[in-house]
Amino acid sequence: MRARAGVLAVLSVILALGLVWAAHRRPVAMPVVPRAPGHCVLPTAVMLRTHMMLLRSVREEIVRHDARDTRFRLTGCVACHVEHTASGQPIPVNAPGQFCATCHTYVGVHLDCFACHAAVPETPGKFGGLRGQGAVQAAFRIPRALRGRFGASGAGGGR
Amino acid sequence: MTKVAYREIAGRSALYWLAVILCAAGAAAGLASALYMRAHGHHVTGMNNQIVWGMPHVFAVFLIVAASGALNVASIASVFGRSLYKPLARLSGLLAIALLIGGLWNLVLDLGRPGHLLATVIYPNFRSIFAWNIYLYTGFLVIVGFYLWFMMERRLNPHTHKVGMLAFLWRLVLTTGTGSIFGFLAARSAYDSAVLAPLFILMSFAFGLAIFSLVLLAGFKIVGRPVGGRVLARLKTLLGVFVAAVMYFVAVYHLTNIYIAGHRGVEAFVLLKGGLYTGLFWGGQVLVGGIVPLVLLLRRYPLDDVQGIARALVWGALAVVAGGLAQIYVLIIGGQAYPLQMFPGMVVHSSFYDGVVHSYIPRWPETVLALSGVAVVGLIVLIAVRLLPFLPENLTDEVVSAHGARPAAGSAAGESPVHP
Amino acid sequence: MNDKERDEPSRDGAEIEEGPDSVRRGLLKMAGAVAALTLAPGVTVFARDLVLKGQHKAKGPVRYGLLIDARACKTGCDACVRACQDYNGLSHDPGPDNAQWIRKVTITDEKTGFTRSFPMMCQHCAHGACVDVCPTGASFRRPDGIVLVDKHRCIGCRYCLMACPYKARSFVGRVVKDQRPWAPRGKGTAEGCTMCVERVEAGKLPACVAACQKAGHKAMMFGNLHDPKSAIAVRLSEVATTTIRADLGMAPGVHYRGI
Repeated sequence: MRARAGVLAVLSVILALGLVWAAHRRPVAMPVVPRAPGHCVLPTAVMLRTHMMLLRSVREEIVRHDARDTRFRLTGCVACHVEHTASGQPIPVNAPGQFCATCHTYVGVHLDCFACHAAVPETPGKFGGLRGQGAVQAAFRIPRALRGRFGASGAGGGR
Repeated sequence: MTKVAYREIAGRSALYWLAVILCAAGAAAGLASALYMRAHGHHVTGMNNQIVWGMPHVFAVFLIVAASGALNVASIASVFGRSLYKPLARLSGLLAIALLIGGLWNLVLDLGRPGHLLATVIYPNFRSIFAWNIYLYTGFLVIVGFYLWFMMERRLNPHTHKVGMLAFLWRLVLTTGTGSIFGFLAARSAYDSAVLAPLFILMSFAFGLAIFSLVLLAGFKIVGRPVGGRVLARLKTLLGVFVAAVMYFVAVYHLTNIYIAGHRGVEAFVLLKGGLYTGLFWGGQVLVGGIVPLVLLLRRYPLDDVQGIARALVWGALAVVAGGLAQIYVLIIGGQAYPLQMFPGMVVHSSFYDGVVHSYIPRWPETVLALSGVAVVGLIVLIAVRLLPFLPENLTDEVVSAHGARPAAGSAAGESPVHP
Repeated sequence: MNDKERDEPSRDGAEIEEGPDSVRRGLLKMAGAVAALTLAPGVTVFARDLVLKGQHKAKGPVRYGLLIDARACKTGCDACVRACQDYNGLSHDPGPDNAQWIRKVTITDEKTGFTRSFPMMCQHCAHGACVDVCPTGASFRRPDGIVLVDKHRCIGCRYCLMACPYKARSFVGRVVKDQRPWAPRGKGTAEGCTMCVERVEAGKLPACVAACQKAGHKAMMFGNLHDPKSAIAVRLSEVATTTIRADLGMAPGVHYRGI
């Protein structure tokens, strides 16, 4: 009995200390998310809340049902939101401080996409891409109306 | 009046805590090595694109097969009405659950992406025997859980045999499913056989009973509860019969393959030219797993020679376990080591190891994971027998025969746990 | 003391009146019914899949396939293999745990000395074992006949590697970086030849076929097997071809000439 009470007491003290520590921490600052040029495929507020659902529902269509015309492709996200170093090298979007990582780190949600997917857009002309320049757009047939929006940085202009 | 009383073990001895700590450490080591494999990928193991399934699967299949077999003792008691086995039924159910969890532990932690396991429930593909097995395994855990509850809860005792029957049928389907994981693989010459399903059922009878006997004897010896020659002699003979049946199915499997000309290559590999696998087959599976236990187990002892019977049972069961592991190693690893027969009669060369016998050298991450499944089984059993009354207080001949001969009246009380 | 009496302890009064044997018989019936009810829906689905899907599978308007002319394939040339590795971002090093979506295989009949060299890849079967055994349906066949791994669902169990008769599947055992945007691949999942699905959709040839043509060997031909006017269908109707391990009845979409 005495041993059990001791364990309980120690646990309560640890819990109390943890609560005090948590209460005295400064609030974590809102992250500064890098802005991409142009407009997103949907308003930012909508994307913020639904991008994971969009990606999830669309991936089924893309992989299994041959629907490659969709706007909500991960490659599209990456092409637009990637940042470049001073020498023009693309920085992976899941690198610390980059578009995806900033938010995901802040909210503490594991970012699984880039375990398999490329976190940078295709480098023009490298390794027999479909068409050299604009390979991402060409390969995935991004609708004509949207093509211009992907061109400002990243993988070159549309067709 | 002698009645079967069950009691938790005290679990205060240093030996008990040592065993608990060892098993917990084993499980933790397995978890650590699974995390290590997850962080670096499976290239840190000996498994590769040639030997796809390795050590964790050998132990997983062994434990899962043994799990369904461990339930046999309970089934014999409630389904076939042999009340000699009734005092053993609770331990039998507990071992079945523990062994299955240990096996699944290995299987799940070895997955490339264990975190995505839920996909099997969200998108089940019922053309896959694997998908079926997921339901068979979870169903087994639930049913045996209910079975144990019915055995332990006095008011539910009268219905125990119904649950027991369901559990028995379920376990037959379950082992058929496990055997079919391999039996359905037409691509590989070593597997493509319907005999694997019944062979696995018989293997489960033997392995499960062997492990059950070992746990029972070890438990009773360490806790110091008395056990009589009658129960042990029955278990011993039964195990011998199961071993003989396994050997029969193994013989049928190999004879069929030898007779079919197209399968002679793989037979020559396993039986004659396979190096390690040939050695494991003849030395491990046939000699240690078959002939030695048959000699030990089928020899007759007078019922009062408890020591002699127990010794024969322990060594026989140990041999069955060792031979069983060898058997599954030969089946799983040997079956993959033999190259796929894509161009019969041709000599094949490629950069992808086509046409050559593949080698498998287990490395420590997967070996630790494989052994941790056993540790998990031990941990579950150790904790369970301390918390709940699984072990009968005494299994002497008087108790066993008195229990068997007792008339129906007032019988319900016989199953109730007696708390100290 | 007989067996029936020994059974008693587990029965209550009402059941004893019926006699243990009838009880047992009733129980068997009940258990049978329970088992049947539990298993019936699954078995029905399984049977329907087996029969119906098996029939419909091969009959879409499009079924992409390959025809490989082993007589034209040059021993020692691995242009197709290199092209695949470059295009899909695979390693050039043929280590035991590296993925090989396509490989050159050399077969020799030692009795006659006959030898051939040709590429092997996923055979894009109509009834592929990999599709059947996959517990999550991650291994699947598209309506156009291309067999893929949906890595979103793949749990990494490697059952497809066990089931494939062609050794066409590989398991990714390392952390992958620098994937191509069109060829996502990652640690812990199974993968195999995709027939360069996004190139095909864009109206281009798979990388291996294009490379073979560029090298001037013309040993590989790609097209729609179900379009009788397509070049590949015409050729298949004219010359003797075979599929590897046709005995398994998986109906591969990759045909070979001269082996």
